[in-house]
Amino acid sequence: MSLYRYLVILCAVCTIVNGCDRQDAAKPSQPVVIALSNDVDTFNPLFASDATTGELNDLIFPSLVTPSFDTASGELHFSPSLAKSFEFSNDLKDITFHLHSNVFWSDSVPITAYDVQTTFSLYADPQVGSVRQSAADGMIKKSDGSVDIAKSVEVIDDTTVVFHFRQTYPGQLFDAGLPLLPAHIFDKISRKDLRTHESNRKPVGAGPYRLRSWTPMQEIVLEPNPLSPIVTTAKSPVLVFRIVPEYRSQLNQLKSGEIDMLLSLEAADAAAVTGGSQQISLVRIPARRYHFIGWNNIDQQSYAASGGKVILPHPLFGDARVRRALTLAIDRLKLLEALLNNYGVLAVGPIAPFFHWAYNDSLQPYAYDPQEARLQLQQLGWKPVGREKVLQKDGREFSFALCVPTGSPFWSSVATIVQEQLRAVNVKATIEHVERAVYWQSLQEKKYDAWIAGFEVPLQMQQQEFWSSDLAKNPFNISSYRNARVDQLLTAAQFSTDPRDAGKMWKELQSILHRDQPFTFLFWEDRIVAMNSHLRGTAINVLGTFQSAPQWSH
Amino acid sequence: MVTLVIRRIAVALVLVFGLATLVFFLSRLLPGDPALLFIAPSVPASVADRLRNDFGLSGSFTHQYISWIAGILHGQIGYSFSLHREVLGIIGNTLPYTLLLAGSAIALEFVLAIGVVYCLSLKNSPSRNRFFSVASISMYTIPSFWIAYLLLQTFTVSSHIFPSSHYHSVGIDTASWLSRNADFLLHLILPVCTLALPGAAGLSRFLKASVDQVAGMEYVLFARSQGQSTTRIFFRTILPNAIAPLLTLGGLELGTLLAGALITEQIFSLPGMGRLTIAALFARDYPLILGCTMTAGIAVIASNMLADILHATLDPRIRGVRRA
Repeated sequence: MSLYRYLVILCAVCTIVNGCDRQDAAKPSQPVVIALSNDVDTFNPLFASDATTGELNDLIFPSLVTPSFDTASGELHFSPSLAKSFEFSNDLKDITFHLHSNVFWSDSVPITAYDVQTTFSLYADPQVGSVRQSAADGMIKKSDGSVDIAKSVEVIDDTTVVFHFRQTYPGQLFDAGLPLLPAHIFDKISRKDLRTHESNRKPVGAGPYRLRSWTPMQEIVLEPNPLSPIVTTAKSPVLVFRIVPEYRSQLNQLKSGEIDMLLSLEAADAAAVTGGSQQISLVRIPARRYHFIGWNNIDQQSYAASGGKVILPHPLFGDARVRRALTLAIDRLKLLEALLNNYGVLAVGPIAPFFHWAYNDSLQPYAYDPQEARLQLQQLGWKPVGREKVLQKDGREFSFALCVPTGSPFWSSVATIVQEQLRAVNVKATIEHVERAVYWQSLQEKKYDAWIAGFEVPLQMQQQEFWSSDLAKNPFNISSYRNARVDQLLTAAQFSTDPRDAGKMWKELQSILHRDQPFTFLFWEDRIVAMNSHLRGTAINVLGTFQSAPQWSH
Repeated sequence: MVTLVIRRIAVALVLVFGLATLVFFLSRLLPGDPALLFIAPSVPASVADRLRNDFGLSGSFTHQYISWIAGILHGQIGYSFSLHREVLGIIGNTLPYTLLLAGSAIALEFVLAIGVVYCLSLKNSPSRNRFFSVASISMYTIPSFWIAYLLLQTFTVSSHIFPSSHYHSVGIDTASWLSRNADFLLHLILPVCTLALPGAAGLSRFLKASVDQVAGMEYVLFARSQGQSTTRIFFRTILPNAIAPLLTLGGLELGTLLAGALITEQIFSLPGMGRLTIAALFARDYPLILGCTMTAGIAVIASNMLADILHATLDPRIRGVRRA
């Protein structure tokens, strides 16, 4: 038999075997396959630091309450979940939760109020070092500053638990709604060993799903949890999360039908992906992530040399008028069109437009006006000098390093365009690529002059750590912005339980930040989820992708 | 032969130790604090200090190095900061995938190279030789990611013949033994071809040159004069004499592949040492970096040693020289 015949037979066998797979794909009981760029770190909500790990943990571990998002007002609402009901005290400082009785963890051990208390003692314990430790900040504390867990999370009986807070704040239900852990397992583990314990790979939960298998760097399979007290999972699909690190590979697999869902489609591919033979639909999720050019507001050298005691304005970016002029010199609308195909909106501040109650829609983005930028810089004493005509003032050239993390082609493209636009107003920016881990650490240490980055905002309004003047306590205030009125607003807004009052404060805060431009706010980027059109029931929104997973079907 | 193997193993141990020492100190010089990657910035500094202590990062570099060496002598390479498991266990889970991929690729490289050179030896045509020369050098110089995308476009996106990633299909674990293995082989074809095609092109060029040299020897002419078939002469007389130098090349190639075929692993979403090493580097996971580096070093040294031993087995002159 000739080689040609062998090849024909091989291709035929392959086609038949693959064909069988594809016929199976049409069956309604078929699992839903989702591509993930990175493997999950841990199945323990105490240490789940990235968004995807957090979402998968939310499917496995139960919570007292479940959030829903009101798209009209932009407010978060909470409804009972593991708790069958809850009520606030008259002074709103205490919340009593009544748990369902006869509910069980996936290993058939009953869930009680003691599990709730143990969970929050773990979140609050500094020795555990949970990424959600700040959720216990509002609880009752002992004289040494540690959380008094017995007084903060009081167990009345097996099905009743009361949360006592030092004072009221809007995030009380959000904090009380963190994922719960089984006390009968975590009581036996030394707290210093929690981070590395075997239980982080073999989770016992009570959420709608339980872990069937986890093959590192390959796939995670979640199956419906029949013991879940939260939702009926009889018809819920098995979820298969395949680790596909390459974005192009994810795209090819979506087109070939190997995966059902791609969690973050690049805007440039949006038009092409829906035009192929595979029926693919797109869900556009309002932006939770904004991009910005950060300007260091303080002189980092004197700050570092004095151990944070001497705070002087940055020689280039210390003046808000200079930062405003730089914003005028950058054509953000063009960047949005060119890089995001308009899948997003121009940003005026750090509060997402979908938070209607807090978003200041009276603010207009600064228009692109290089002439005005040049004029304003000249008025501030910056004059073009020499053959290159780079601006100078008091012998100091207006040149700086614009830092970008490696492995981020999007931010590299932004940097290249911004560099050209700044050159047009005689400002010299040199692009520096910095390894990712070093980049984020250096930002927190306030080492750079200027940089390009992005933040994903939490659903519970939280701006304190980004803008508070206490630089030592708030490493995420990476531009080292300091403003006394902003500090007042941050403190007042975070404890205001009336959305109308808090909304006014957040709007004023945006006005001040818009005026001062500690960052040049570029744009909010919408997230595009691409999925095979045969998937039904996929109510995906800003809360996350998998919240409705138990209701999905082919 | 035994002396040769013992001597090689002794040299290999010294090399691996030297490599590990170098990587230990180089990795400690990397900027970035591993402890800060695993805790929230709001967590008190005392927690970060405790974490550094748990990670074995407190004390001077020399102290850390001595502790690490002591750990190795007790059979403990370390504990991965990022994956929260013993490094030895992680590598033990990952290395078989790499061995499989690299072993299959090397085998295919030799099969393709021998096949192509055999076809060329059937008829000595200048035009065929020119075509081979151009085609092999082109294939050798194409980057592997480009070959991967060409194969994926042709056999997955356009024709749906082969799957594009992983080692198994979704839900195949409940299928029959035969289906599972057929599925596994299907998944292996494209990544193995991606790895093997450039290597096969390179090997075939070396093999062709070696075969041409051997084909002019008197013992080959003698075989022809006996009326033996071309196929018999090629496989029984020419190839055993021509292939020995290629084993050294194959050993080098195998060592490189065992250290991790990062691009292929990344594109086809396969677990392997390449991806593991990169993840460890980005996470500043020092124990895992050291474990991966030592594995790569051992793989390169072992495959070269294997090639030397094979060479010595096939060529008695080598053994003779050693004895002399």
